[in-house]
Amino acid sequence: MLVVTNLHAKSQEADILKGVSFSLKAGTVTALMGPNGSGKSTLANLLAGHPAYVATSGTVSLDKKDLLEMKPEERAQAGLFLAFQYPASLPGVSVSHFIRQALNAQEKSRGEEITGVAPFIRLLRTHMKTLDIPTSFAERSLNDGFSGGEKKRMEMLQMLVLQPKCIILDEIDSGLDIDAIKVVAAAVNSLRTKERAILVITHYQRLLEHIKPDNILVLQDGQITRTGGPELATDLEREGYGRTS
Amino acid sequence: MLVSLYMPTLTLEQKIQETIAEVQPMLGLHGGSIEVVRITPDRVVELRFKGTCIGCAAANYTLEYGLKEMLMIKIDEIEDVIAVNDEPVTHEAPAIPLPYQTA
Repeated sequence: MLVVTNLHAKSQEADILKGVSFSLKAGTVTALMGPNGSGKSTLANLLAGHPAYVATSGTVSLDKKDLLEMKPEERAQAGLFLAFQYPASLPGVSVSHFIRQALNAQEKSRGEEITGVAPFIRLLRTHMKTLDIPTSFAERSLNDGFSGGEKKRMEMLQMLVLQPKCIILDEIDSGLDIDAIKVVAAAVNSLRTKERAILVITHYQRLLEHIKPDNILVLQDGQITRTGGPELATDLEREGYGRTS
Repeated sequence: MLVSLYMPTLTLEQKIQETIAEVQPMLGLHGGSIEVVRITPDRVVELRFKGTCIGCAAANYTLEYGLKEMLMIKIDEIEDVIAVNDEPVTHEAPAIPLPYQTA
């Protein structure tokens, strides 16, 4: 589904990704691990179309379409979703308005019927219940004054409503307590289907105990240095990232 | 005000009335108001616009993107909110042509 080939990228003149290649297949969960500053978030932001990150060479395709040629909103319309490590606050824009506008924009781009206000709120209420978020959050400004855990749940709420087909979760476990990790992991696991590809970026094995990956990639100094099955996470937890063979 | 949190013991109708009361002053500023006609067995709230809201081009927008969203978010039990006005439009163009409409 998502194929990254020999991707080089820079941010503010610093080369961060130095020839990254991997692919995400539909129906699989891939974990991307690596030490601080290895380029994990750069990769996530670059795939989503963040203007601060520039691909200098290499290709990325989503369903055989050139992802790097698309605008951020076109990537989202094509089914790509990024859950941010540090979700932005939008004072004055309610959770309900924000997510409905996003959903309606995607429906419009696909030529589908627009979900009206009442069915949307019913849908939102269902997903908020799943994520253990009080319905009253729907009329609050998005992430404005929210705790770290609440912001991450808001990312999950957007994911559940939009039902994207290629999901990138950038350190969705950071700042979460044990119960919140379980709630977030359950939301992600509910979207594990054979049509969908999920990339979980994390530092810790703890999240991967709840979201069991099919494959693990290790990114170090802008390159994929190790790949393996779920057992690799346990090895990394024990040995650290020092061993690069 | 979070009606459903602060007043958990209110009946559904009371919660709706409390919530509607919050927006009445805003509608009143425009010379309009709203009343609850009934709550159907499948928990659809039927409202009626009154005063200058009747025939106002913005009334439907107020319903769809204001009242409906607010009521459904504050009160979990509600499945939909609709207006049941059947009065004729009151803001019709005057029958007598205005001076600049003489042609």
